[in-house]
Amino acid sequence: MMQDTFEPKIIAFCCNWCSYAGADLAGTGRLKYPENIRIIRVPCSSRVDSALVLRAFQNGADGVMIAGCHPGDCHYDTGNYHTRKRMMLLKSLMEFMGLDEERLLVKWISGNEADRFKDTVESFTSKLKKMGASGKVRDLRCAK
Amino acid sequence: MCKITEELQQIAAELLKEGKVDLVLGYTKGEQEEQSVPCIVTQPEDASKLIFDEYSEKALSKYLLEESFQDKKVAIVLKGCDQRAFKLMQDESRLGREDVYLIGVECPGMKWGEDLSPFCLHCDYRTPAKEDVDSLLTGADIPEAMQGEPLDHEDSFTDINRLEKMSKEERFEFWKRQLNRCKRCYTCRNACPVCTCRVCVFDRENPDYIDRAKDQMAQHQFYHVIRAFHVSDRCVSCGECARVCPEGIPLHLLNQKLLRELDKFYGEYQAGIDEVPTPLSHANADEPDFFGKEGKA
Repeated sequence: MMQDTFEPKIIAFCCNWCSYAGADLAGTGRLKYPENIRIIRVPCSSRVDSALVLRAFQNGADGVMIAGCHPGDCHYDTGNYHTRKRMMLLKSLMEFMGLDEERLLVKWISGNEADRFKDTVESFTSKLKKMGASGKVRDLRCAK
Repeated sequence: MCKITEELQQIAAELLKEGKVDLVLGYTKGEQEEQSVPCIVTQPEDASKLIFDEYSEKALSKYLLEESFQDKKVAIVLKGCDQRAFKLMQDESRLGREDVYLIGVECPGMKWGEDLSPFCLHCDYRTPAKEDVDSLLTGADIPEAMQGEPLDHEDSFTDINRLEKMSKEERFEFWKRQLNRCKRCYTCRNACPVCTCRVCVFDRENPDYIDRAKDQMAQHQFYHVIRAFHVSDRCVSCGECARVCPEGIPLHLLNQKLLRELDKFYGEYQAGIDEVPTPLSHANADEPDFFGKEGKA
């Protein structure tokens, strides 16, 4: 029963130049995507520090999504190359510590890919619904 | 008294007498027999206090960043791993090479309790390169285990391999057991020779990522992930973090895991030996993309 009613919280860090525009386009195109997602606009996907990701989990997120420009399309030339390097490391470290690294999703979504944005959010939400609530990295100070 | 100690005292006394340096940063005998502690010598007659033995494990290079040393000419005793840390700071423009007189020493391998440190057994950079230091002291009494080729690098990851074979839940339980002992005393951070930010993220009150709460697994995780991450590509594999931990948490495993991942995907890199930039301080298009092979929709 819990499974049916569980609505995961997803924090999505969206790059200002691509993915945020993609999300915007999904909105203006009236595409419906799950409302589990909370979008945070960042100037570049490489702005997302590993601390921000962990902090999102600690604060109660069940999933964290980082969306940036396709490789080669970065507004700042190399920002998303840094992102993929760091997030690969963070994912492998999370896995090594027994944390659920699949709760962290990195995806390249450009400004005209509203469909891709919608599909990504949908599939990530349904995956998290199956996985259930994340409890391994909860900060007790943030518990309600 | 071993040969290195003798020569070290000689050099220190000469440097101080000639006024080439204001102070010498080295090791002296601690209160216990099996202990060496860092010490500062400013007078030539005190140079006899200096020693170098198998208990001189503390990394000294980080002291050079202290404010009280900034306007002074310093001579410093460096073993291999410590010199790597110094070179890294130098390459990152944290220190000027000309302000420091480097006394490189051949490291006989440091003690780890009764035995030799496992990090020293795997170390292939015990002695600083001659061209990197101002004077190099060799002739240490090398224990038998340290002679010959260092142990294979892959062996040093045995513990990692063991952990990787576990299931995710087992790994989580393992780290929970380990990290729940953490008191967050920050000794691992303070002892690390490459952990050198001017203002540490953990000392900031805003954002309040972590506080002093004791029984908080999430905060322990946060601290250790970020600590490992911040030194990941710059780790010189000295093993100080694990050695100084009062609770005996195998912190080096996190660092070695990250080093191994970096080596695997971005080519082998040894901080402080190879040229900068370090792997995480640059990025380019040719590197593998783990997040989306399908390209543009």
